[in-house]
Amino acid sequence: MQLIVNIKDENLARKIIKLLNIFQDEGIEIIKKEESRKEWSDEYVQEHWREIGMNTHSADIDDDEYLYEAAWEYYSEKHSD
Amino acid sequence: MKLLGSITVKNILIDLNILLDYYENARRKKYPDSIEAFDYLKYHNFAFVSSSSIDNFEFIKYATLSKAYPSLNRKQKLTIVHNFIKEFLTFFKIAKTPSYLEIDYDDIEDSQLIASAKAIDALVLTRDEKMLNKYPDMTISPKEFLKTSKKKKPKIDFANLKKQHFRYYPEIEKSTDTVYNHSRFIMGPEIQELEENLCSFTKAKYAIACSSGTDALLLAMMALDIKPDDEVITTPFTFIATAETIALLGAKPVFVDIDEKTYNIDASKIEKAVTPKTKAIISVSLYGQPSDLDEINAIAKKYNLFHIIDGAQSFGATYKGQAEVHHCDIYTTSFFPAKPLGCYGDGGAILTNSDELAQKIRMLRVHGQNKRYSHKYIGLGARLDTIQAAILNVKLNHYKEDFAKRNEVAKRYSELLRNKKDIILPTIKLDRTTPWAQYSIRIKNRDEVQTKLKDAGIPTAVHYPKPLHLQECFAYLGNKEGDFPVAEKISQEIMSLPMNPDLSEEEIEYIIFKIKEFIINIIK
Repeated sequence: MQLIVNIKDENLARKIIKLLNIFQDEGIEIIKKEESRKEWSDEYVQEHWREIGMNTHSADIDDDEYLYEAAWEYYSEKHSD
Repeated sequence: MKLLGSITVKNILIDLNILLDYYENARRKKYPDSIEAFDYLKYHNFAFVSSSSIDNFEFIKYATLSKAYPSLNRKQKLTIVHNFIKEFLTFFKIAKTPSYLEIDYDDIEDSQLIASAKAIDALVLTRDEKMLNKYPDMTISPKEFLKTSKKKKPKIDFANLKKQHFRYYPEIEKSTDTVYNHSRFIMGPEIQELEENLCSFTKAKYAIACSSGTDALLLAMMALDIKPDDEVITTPFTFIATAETIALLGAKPVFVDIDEKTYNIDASKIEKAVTPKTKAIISVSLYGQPSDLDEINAIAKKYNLFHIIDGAQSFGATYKGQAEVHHCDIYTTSFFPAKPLGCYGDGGAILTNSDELAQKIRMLRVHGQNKRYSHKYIGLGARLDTIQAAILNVKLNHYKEDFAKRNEVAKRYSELLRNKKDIILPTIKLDRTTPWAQYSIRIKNRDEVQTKLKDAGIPTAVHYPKPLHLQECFAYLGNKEGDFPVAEKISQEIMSLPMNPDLSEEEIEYIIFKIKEFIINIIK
């Protein structure tokens, strides 16, 4: 059986690929990986910002460690410019 | 019992977790109460987000975007995050962290949020269990919030100044901060700005801001040189200040009965009250409606009298298409907080088109001084505080909207109460407009209806229960019961309903439903 799926979330896609690779020995074979969007255009983001932004996965924000990580990521990227 | 049955009593400060629930599909499914509460608050003008939550939202949303879409660049991620922030800031206002913040070092973020909530008299809407347990009197969960908001019995506020304040909160904060920063608390630049704005609004030549509506009347009469033994004709159906200021100057208030429809001075009865001692007529635009100004001006002209309009309740009203200032020598008004245009304490203004009177009133306002420490007249210390002018400048900028909303409320009251034979509705003459300082109906068994309405959570007021000629302080004038029968009759029947620009259709319908219910039961 061949199964073709469309995964919008790149992070989730990577996880699923990793998971599928675990079952390589059981005969699961990834035939084709097609990255639909390597580069996002500014126009596309401007037009689809809500759709893109709504499909994130955050931890519950009461998790202080997560807050710390998020802040770290935000500020390190900010100062790397 | 945090809300005492009414969510409208408190503001709501939305915690970060609710914002994130709303703006992420996975969390929307998991926390539907957050979504429903957020959607409810979008359309009810009393929700805030803390300034500290905005940057937390920014970096959390940014980080989740980085994880979900590693190939988005920084600019693109910021575009997305900032669009979300811009969107929720169209629904909610920002609450600052106040300077009297008591930091709890166990959780600085929570203590900031609680301090912000205290500053705006809000409950924090949160799912954070730790916070809900630690601050039970300052927090509310989405589930509890929704339960409370669906309760049917609204708690109605008569003038709802709090709601009005929070409607203009960011502008008022900015405007008052400017005053704190320049610290010119007496006659600061906001006073002149207000006077210019008042002139622009009314097309008056001069506006002089002063310390209260009462002082405005006093200054007006001092400018007209009203002296002991002069007589000033006015209505007995008004707030005490109108006649009190006449008496304070040693002059004699001469009352003339009122018109049964408008409750303003009956112009057809004024001429009989004119004597050689009469110096002026003070007409009062009761509840906001101008009196019969043409008729009054004709009498004033015939007998060479001044005409002052006491417009304490009528700022913004028009007579034959013009502001009232254009139909008298001096127009005075009040910015008492509950007035249609109110400040946050006492305040007032005098408007006139006369160069001479304006100049004199400006001097009288500051102890009669024409230059520093040189006093031409005996005057008063009757300046408006700069901070009040700063607030009024903001509110005046929105006054046309408020004026329209008050008229809309009055229209709905009239539509819903029309044809009830036991209720007499207010009559506004076709050639004038009113800001509806009060929406006052006449009703038999008023006191009983008032008590029943109070029990149903509906505040009412009586403007005014005793005409001035029957007040003890005016006993020396020698008037007695029966002298002004219309005023006496109206004072027994009149009752003002809640009136403010924030009354909702639901609240109006509830008020009217209850009035009708009580009338059927009481008046038979």
